[in-house]
Amino acid sequence: MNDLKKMLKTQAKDALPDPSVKERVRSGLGIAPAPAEEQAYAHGGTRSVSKKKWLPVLAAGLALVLALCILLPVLLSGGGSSALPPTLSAAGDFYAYSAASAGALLSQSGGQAGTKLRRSLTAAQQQEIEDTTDEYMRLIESLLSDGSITHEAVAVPEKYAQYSYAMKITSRGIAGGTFTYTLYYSEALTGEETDGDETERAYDITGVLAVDGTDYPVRGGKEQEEESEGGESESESELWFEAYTGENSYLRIEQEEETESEEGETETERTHRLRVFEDGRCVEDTTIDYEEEDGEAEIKLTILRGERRDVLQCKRDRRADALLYAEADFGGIQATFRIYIENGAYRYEFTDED
Amino acid sequence: MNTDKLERKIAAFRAGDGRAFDYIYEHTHKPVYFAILYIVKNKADAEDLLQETFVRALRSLEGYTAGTNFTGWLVQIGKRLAYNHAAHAAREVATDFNEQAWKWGAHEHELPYLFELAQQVLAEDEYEILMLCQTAGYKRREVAAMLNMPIGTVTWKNNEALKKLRKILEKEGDA
Repeated sequence: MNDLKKMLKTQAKDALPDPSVKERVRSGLGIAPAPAEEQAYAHGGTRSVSKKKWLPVLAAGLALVLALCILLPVLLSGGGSSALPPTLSAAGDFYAYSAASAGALLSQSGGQAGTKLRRSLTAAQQQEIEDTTDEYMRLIESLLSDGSITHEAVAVPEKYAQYSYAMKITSRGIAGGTFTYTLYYSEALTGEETDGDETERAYDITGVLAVDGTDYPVRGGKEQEEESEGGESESESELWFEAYTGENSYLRIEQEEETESEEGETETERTHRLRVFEDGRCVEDTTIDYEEEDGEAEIKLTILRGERRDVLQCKRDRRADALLYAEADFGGIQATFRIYIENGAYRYEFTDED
Repeated sequence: MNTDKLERKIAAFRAGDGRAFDYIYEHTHKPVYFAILYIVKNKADAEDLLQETFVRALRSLEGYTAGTNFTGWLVQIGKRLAYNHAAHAAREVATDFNEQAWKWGAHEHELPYLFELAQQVLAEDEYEILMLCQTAGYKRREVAAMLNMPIGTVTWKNNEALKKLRKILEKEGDA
């Protein structure tokens, strides 16, 4: 039964309507598509492509980072045996990871890359891949070392007196840099409902995430639903976190977990999703797939932005001197490369490997 | 699904806020699509009818009574269009698109076998429930609200649909 459910889920993309239908409806209703020059950019709200041409690329790259940051600390620190991503079971942990993710996303990034050309790529294509990847290396750096993200409760300063708690989140990079974000927040049980065998609970968090001297309003929460009937039980939980860059523009990270028990068998599925909203419209939608084979974990990120589809797969490199091995397909440009750290900077080495 | 929020978005769209469209579409199109697909059995046609359903419905929102079941209202419009389409199609001379897939591009609209099988062997309500619970990612209580059904019925029919499919697949595997 579980295999059947899995098949229905995995084949869903071929059965569901094409995303172009939505655009056709939009067109049929005379609703103008959101102008491309007003895409959402996580680190600074609405920005214009004409002013900063690298911003769309950055948005895609940063989206990858935001998703990656949830998983990299565990995946790359030696990993467990589970094929599933780590569960951030405690809400506090999730907030910390999410805050660090959003913090890195909301902050500026930089870096220099030295490269070796891959024969099948033009210099311009290689540059695009490097630029895309480069923008999120600060966050990757923040997360690659063991125990890279830590969080501790600190006193709430007067300025944030309306919030009950303050959490200082520190991520330490491999190259020695330390990045600090502070989350000021209040948390509450907002709802509890029991209907027969079904129980629902909702928790809510509101606050401010301070990143590089700028405050971003944040919201987060957890919804839990438990249900049992006869010998079967089903529970679902959803953790989410939003960081706002404008009144109706925000980044949203979600972790969903579904557990079903039936005839003594228990199945758990977890998914992560990252979305970037601008003026209430989702402009980026990232899904994360996980696979583990022979003890080696691999992450595959698929980012949809309008008609463009970017894919990045990466895993820890078996070669001791390289940090990551990655395969990318950024807007049709395909490449495989390794990322090294040299003298505190990143170096990309493109390969001809399949 | 947050029905209060959906109602707010519908009200906003009715008041001329086109930005509400994305939310409305994203939160309602899958039940409409699967209801249509079950009737027309063809992905390309179902997509066209899905488009027509939304355009018609959102142009005539005055026909919807706020606070009632908006998704259910859309599904009814979609089904009506789908039955009309099916009736017309039955009167037309059939062209075997599958045989000439290279010409018509029909292979791009093929459904995975499992989904075709589900259309063939499941009752309409079983099919809709299975698709919404297992493919579209809705929670059972959300499906229950959409279809105006007790949650226990949704659970039962979902399980029955899975059992039916599994039985056939096992039989095929043995053959």
